[in-house]
Amino acid sequence: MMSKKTSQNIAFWVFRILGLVVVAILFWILGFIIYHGAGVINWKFLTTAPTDGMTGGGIFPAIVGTFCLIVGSMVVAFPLGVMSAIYTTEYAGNGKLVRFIRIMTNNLGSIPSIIFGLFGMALFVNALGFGDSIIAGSFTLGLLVLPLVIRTTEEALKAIPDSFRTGSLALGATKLQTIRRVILPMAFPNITTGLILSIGRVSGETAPILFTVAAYFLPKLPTSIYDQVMALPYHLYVIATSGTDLEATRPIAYGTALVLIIIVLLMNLLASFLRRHFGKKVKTN
Amino acid sequence: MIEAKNVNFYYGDFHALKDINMTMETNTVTAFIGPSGCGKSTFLRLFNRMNDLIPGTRLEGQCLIDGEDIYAKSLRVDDLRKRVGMVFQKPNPFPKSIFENVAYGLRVNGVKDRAFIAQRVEESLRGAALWDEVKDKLKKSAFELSGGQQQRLCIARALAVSPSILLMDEPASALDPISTSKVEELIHSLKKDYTIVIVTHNMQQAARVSDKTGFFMLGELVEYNDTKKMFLNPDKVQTQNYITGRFG
Amino acid sequence: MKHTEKEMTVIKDEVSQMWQLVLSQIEKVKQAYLSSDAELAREVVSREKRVNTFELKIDSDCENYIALYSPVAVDLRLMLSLIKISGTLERIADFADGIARHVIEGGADEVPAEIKKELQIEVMFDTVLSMLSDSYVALESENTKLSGKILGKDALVDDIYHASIDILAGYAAKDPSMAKAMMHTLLVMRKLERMGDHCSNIVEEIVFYIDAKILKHNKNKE
Repeated sequence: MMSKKTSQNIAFWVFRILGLVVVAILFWILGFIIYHGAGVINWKFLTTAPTDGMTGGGIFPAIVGTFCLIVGSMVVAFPLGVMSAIYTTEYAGNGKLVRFIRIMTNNLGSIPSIIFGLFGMALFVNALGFGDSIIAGSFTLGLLVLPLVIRTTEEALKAIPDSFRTGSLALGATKLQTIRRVILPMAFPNITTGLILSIGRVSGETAPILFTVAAYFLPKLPTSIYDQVMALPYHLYVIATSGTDLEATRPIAYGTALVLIIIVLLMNLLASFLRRHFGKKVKTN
Repeated sequence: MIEAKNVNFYYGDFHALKDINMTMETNTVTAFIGPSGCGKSTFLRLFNRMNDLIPGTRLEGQCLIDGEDIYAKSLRVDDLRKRVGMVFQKPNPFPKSIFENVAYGLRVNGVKDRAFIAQRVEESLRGAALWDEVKDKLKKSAFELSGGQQQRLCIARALAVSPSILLMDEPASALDPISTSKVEELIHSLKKDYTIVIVTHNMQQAARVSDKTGFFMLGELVEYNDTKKMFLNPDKVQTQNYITGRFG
Repeated sequence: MKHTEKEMTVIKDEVSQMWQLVLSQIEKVKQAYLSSDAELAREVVSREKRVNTFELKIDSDCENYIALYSPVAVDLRLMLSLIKISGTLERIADFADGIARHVIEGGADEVPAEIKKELQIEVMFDTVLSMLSDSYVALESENTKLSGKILGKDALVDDIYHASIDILAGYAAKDPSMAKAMMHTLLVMRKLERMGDHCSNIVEEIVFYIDAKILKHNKNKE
């Protein structure tokens, strides 16, 4: 028989090693990309358009394009997601309709992203006549991350104890005032978590933008929301698989990957900074 | 004056309050005692319509405040709740500054006049015997206060909207004895301006703070009497068994 | 001040009023007896009701205080001793009332002033009065230093009472027509002696309240 202490120790070490393995894999990937990509990154790489059949030059249009899509999709998904989450958690109670909405939201989240791409093409690009454009891509990406935003916002709202709601209502506040003045400020840090996750998801997705916005090669910058743009993940896919000279573009591909990862990491850092900043203000006891 | 006339209350099929008739006079403290699940909190929450928040509940009979039916269709619930303040078991200040906590009720009621708000905040904090302890840190978060101070802050918050009635649902059960005694003293001093109804697990507390006491059991109001009478010579044998600890 | 303390102050005030009333009853009955003043004695009898009312009021206030505020430690001892003190004060006032009735029936007239003097009845009255007023001071000042002295005075009262038996028996033997008056006088002195005993009980209650010591039934060990 193993003593309690020994089995405790074994379990503890198993968990610790598994945890370290995860971290190790992350660092391995990061290290691999930095090792191969760091060499090509310089100011020029970040600020110029690709040249020479994409075997030279930079990735500036793709960076701008990705930022446009991040902002655009958040503008679509955030208000919509937060408001539906407020409806389902604060207003709707626990009826059949709400349960149906919740199941459907979850189902929406498990639809493969390529389907979103096709749907976006059918609806936004063709039916609504937006054409291949930032607005079509933003709507498509927005729909893709909507379930994520809804779910994280719901969780954030549910985490607020009911005592704050009853406390506010008991003072003669209406439900809307309670949500606006008490619940949302308290839930805000956790809602930003949803934002972080969605931004990460949006900046990395290729399939939904494939048919809706992404350009194979478009060195000029967009001037309106009806323009096409290049985007980092699609650009990466292109230069890694279907460029004019794959061997020549390999370093550029790693550089692009590195930039993509840095953007995502920066977003995460910014969001977690915001979260901590607001978290201090609204920390509950 | 608060009146309940033939009040029956149901949670779904569960008959939680059975045919209750009761009158609570203005500027008195009335305590509700009874074992857990006896309906005393449910009864308390009828008077600011907090039970409305629970789906599947049903009320029969009438609840009147100063003769007005508070379940009348023409009455707005948020207006009622301004007149009937409530203090909860666990202190629940908002994650805001001490000042903003007290000002909250005024702000949601559309008060914009800053001088008036500042004046009401001070009056309310004084009324809740908290002013001297917090006057130098009104901008600090309410969470920096101790549990007892937080509860008095919640009382101040309720006072700020100038209610005439204060409902208290076990206001001291999460507090240490010193804070409890401060809250009890406060209840005593608030009596001259407010009609107070307090639910408590603690029979001694009911005895200490109240003028009249109602004893609830299994959804029925077993006895409603002067507190002195109740604790010295109750009319009903069930009351006697409960307050002497022979219950059950 | 906490509201429980205010309630307690109210009870203490009632007790002190009762105390003053009982003191003045004894003072008056002393005057009435020594000067055979039936008018004054009637006043004592009529005020006896007020003493009774005080006792009932204090008792019920103490009961309420215990029922409502569950006092412990010093507060509990105060309530318990005040209940007993109010009862004892009432008994003392009863004896004063008894002497007053005796005066009204003309009993004080039957005994010549020299005999009253020889019996030291005035000394007895004064001793009881000082015991009672000293014990009031002890309660008010929450100081039990005086308790030994007060209890000592009870011995004086007892001595006077025991000496009086021989004196009264002597007069009765000398003049059998005086026998009944002498026996009545003995009853008066007996009442005064009992008043002294009750004063001792009050002191014991005060010591119980302030020092939490029990002096009762403990005299032999002292």
